[in-house]
Amino acid sequence: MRRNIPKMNRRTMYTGLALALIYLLVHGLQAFGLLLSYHVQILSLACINIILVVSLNLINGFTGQFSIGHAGFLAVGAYSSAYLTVTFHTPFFVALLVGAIFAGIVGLIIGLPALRLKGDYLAIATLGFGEIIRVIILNTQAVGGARGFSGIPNYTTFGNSYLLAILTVFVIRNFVNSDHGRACLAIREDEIAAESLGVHSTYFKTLAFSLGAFFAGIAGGLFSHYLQYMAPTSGQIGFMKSIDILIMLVLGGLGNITGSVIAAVVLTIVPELLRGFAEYRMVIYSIILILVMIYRPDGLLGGRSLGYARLKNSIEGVKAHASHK
Amino acid sequence: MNWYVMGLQQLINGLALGSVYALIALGYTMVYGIIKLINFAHGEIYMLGAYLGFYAITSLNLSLVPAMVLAMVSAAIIGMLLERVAYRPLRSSPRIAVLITAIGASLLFQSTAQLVFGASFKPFPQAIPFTRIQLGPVFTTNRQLLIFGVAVALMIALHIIVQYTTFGKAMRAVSMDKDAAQLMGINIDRVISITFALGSALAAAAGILVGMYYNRIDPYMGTMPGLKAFVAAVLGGIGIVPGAVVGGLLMGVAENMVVAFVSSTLRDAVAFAILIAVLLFRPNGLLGKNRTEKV
Amino acid sequence: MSHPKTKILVLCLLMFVMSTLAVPGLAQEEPIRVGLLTPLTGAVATYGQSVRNAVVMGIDSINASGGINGRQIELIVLDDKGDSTESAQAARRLIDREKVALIMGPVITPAVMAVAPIAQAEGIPMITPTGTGDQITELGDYIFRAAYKDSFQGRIMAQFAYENLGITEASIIYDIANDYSVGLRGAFKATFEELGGKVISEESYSTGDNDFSAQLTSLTMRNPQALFIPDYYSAAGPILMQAKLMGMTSVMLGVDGWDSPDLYALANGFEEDGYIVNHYSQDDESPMTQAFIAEYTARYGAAPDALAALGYDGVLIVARALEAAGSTDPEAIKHALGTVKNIEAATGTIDMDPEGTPIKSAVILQSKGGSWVLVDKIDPSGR
Repeated sequence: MRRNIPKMNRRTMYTGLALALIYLLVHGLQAFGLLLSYHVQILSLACINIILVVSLNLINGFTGQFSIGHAGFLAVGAYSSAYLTVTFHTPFFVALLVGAIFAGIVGLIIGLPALRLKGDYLAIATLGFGEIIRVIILNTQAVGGARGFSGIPNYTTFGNSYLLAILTVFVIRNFVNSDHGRACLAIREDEIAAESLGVHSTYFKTLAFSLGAFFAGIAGGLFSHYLQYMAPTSGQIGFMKSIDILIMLVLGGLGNITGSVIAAVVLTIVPELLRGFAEYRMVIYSIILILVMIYRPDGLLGGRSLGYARLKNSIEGVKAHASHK
Repeated sequence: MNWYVMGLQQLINGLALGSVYALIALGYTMVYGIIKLINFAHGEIYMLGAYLGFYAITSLNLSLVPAMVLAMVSAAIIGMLLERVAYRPLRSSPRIAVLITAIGASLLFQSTAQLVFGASFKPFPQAIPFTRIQLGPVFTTNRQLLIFGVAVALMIALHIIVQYTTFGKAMRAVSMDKDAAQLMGINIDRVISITFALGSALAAAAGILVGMYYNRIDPYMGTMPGLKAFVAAVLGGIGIVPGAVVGGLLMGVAENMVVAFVSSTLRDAVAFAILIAVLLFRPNGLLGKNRTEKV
Repeated sequence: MSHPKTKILVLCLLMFVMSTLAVPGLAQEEPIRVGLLTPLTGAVATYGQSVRNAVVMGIDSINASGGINGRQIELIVLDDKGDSTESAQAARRLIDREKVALIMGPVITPAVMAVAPIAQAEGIPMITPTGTGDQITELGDYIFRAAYKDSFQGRIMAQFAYENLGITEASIIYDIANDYSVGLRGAFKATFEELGGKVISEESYSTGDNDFSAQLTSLTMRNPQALFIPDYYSAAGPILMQAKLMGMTSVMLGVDGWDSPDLYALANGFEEDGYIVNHYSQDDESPMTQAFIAEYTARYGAAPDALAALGYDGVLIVARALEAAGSTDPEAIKHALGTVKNIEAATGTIDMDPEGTPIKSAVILQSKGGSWVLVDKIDPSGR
C-alpha cells in the first residue's frame, strides 16, 4: 500500500499529521492543567513572531533586500484591524485581512521608491519609512494618537495564530520554491546579472516586499488583538521592534525558513524563562548577534533547511551506526 | 508678535541644534568615507564619551579640558577595538553582515551602558557657566557659540588633514580603492584604525559638549542623534568633510523650523523625510559629485 | 528498546514531562500571594525602584507584626521595564502561574492600560499605587489606584494659580505623547478658563525630546504670567533650565511628576518662583508621614520621593483590604478595596471609593532656595 502513495503526498500527510498533533498536544496539556493559559499565551506570541520573522526572511533573506522597517507594516496591520473591530465590530478574520491588505499596499508604496536603493542606503531608508509610519500613527487621533489605542477585543487565540503561522510558512515556502522565488534568489545573488538575463528586478523586489508586508500586517492584526492595547512607541511599532525581528531572523539564518521558525519560538520563550535576567538579555543578544555574524553568518542552524531528506539521512546514519555495534 | 524676530531667533536655535548634528556627523562621514560602513555604534560612542566625561569630572575631579582629552582618548581606543574585533573580520563579507554587526555593536554598547550606569537621566556637571549674548532683539549663549565654533574648527582641521597631509592622501586612496591602495604599499589596517580613532574621539567630544549643553545624559541619548547625524552626513554628501557640517546645520534649522511653525510631533519625521528625499533625488548629497555604478 | 540511544531519548522525554509537571502549585493555603509589577529597568527605572523599595518595606513591616489575620504576605516582584507588552505578559504570569490574590502596579499609565483589561477579565483586583490617568479606573470595577486623578491635580493647580497667586494669563507646555501630561493639561486648562483665566498659548513636545528652544522661544515672546509644565522631572528639569536661559520670568507651575531629588540638578538655575501639586510633603508634620520618611531614609539611605510614598500607602490600603476581606477571594478583596476608610497613610488620610480612586488630600509646595516648602494642603472635596 505504501508504495502506491507518491512521495510528495506522503510527506504532506506526515507534515499535516505532525502539525495537527502539536495542536492537540497543546490543548490536551492545557486541559490537564499542565499548561497554564499563561503558557499558551506565550505560544500565541511565538506564532505571531514566526509570521513576522518568516515574512521578513522573504525580503531580507530570499530577495537580499535589507529592510529594517518591518515593524512599520506590523503597525499598519495592527492599528487598521483594531480600528475596524473596535469601531465597526467587523468580524476578526475580515479585519485581519483588510489590515494585511492595507499593509501590503503600504509596502508597495514604500517599496517602489525605496527599492531603487541598495545595501546600507536601502536599510536606512526603510528605517526612515518605519519611523515615519510610527509618527503618522502618533499623530492620528482616531486611533488614540499619542495616548495609545485601548479597548481592543481579545480575539487572538492559540488556535488562530497557530493556523495563520502555518499558512504563512506554507505560502512563503511555496513562493520561494516557485519561479517567482527563483527570480528573487537570482536578484539576491547578483541583481545586475539577473536583470541582464531578463529578470525584471523591480517587479520581483517590490512583489517580495509587498508580500512580506502583507504577512507582517497579519501578524500585526493578531498582535493588537493579543495585547489589547497599542502604544506608538519605538519598542512596540518602531525601530526597536524592527531590530527585535531582525535579531530573530539573523539568528535563525537568512534564507532559512526552518531556522526562522525555530528562532522565533526560542526567542519568544527564552526571555520569559529568563525573566530574572532581563537586564542582561539585550547584552547577551547583541553579543550573540555579533558572534554569529563573524563566525556563522548563515545563522545558528547553518545554511541548510531541515527537510525530510536531511531527517531521513540522519535516521539512516543512526541506523548504520547502530548496526556497526 | 514680531514674526521677523521670532523667525530669526528660531534660526539661531536651529543653527545651535545643527552644530550638534554636525559634530556627530563629522565622525560618521569619516568612517563611511573610508570603509563604506554606516557605523551604527557611532551614536553609542558619542554617549559613552558623555559618560566618560561625566565620571572624569565628578569622580576624578578633572576640569573640563583634561576630562575631554581623557574621554576622547578612551573613546578612540574603544573605537579602534570595535573596528578590530567586529568589523575587520567582516571586511570581505556581504554588506548586510557588516551592517547587522554594526547594529549589534550599537545595541551592545547601549545595553551595557544601561547595566553599568543605570537607566535614569543624570544631570551633567556644569563646567562652564552660561552667559547670554544679546544680539539686538535676538540672543544666543556662549555654549551655543562654543559648539558651533568647535564644529567649524574641527571641520577645518579635518579638511586640512584629509586634503593636505600624507596621511590624508592615504585615507583618500583607501576610500577610493582599497586593494589598489594596498598594492601601493599603504597599510590599510593602520589607516582604517586611525580613522576610527579620530572619528570616535570626535564623537566623544561631541558627547561631552552636548551633555553639558542639555544638562542631562542617559544611555539612550545616542540613538536618535546618531541616526539624524547620519542623515545630515548623507544630506551634505557622505564621505565629504565639509558636507557633514553643511548637512548638520541645514538639518538642525529644518527640524527647528518644523517644530516651531508646524508641529512638534513631526520632529523626528523631518530627519527621515529629508533622508528619503535626498536618497531619491540627490543620492550623492549636496556637495557630492555624481558617480554612476560600473558593472 | 535495548538500543542505548533510544533509552536516552526516553529518559529525556520523561525528564521533560516531569519538569512541566513541576509547575508551582495551586492556591497556597498559607501565605497570601501579592504580585508587584514595576519598571526596575528601562527609561523609567527610577520610578519603579522607588515604588519597589517602599512596597517591600511596607510588606516587611506588616509581616513582622504578624501579617494579615495570621497569614504572611508573599510578595512577587516582576520587572515590566516600563513596557506595555512586557507588563501584560508579566501580569498573565502573575495571575496564571503565580496565582496571586491581587496585583499591585503597574507604575506608569501606559503599562496600567495594558494590564487592567487582563486583570478585569480574569477577575483579579489590581491597584496601581501611582497611576493618575483618569481613564484607568474606567476600565472596570476590579481596577483601583492609590493616587489622585490627573483631573483633580490639574484642577487644584489651576485654582491655586488663579485664586492664590492671582494669575490671569498662563501658558502651557506639555508632552503630547504622554497620557499623564495630556490629561493634566486638559484638566488645568478647563478649570483655569472656567474660573476666568486665559490660556494665551500652548506648545507641545514628545517624550524623550531634550531641545525645547523652539517651543520656549515662542512662549517667551508672549510673556505669560505663569507657565504650566505637567510632566515628569526628566523633562521638566531641562525645560526649566532652558526657559531660564531664554530669560523667561514667568512663575513655573508643576505637578507631582516633578518630585525627584534630580529635579534641581537637571533644572540648573531654577530655584525660586515655582509651585507644584504633590501627594505629600516632607514638611508634613503628621506622625505617619514623618515615621515613613525616617524608616525609608534609614533603610535605603535616601529620602523617599512621592512615588515611594504612594507605593507605601498602596501597601497600607492592600493590607487593610485583605484584613477586611478575611480571605483571598477576589470578589471579597475587590469589595474591600472599594470600601476601606480612614487609613492613616504617608500621603494623608485615605478613604477608598468603589469607583477606584481614593478620596485624599493634596498639597501645594513652593520652591525656595532649591528645596520644596509646604504652602497649602487641599482637601479632597477640593473646594
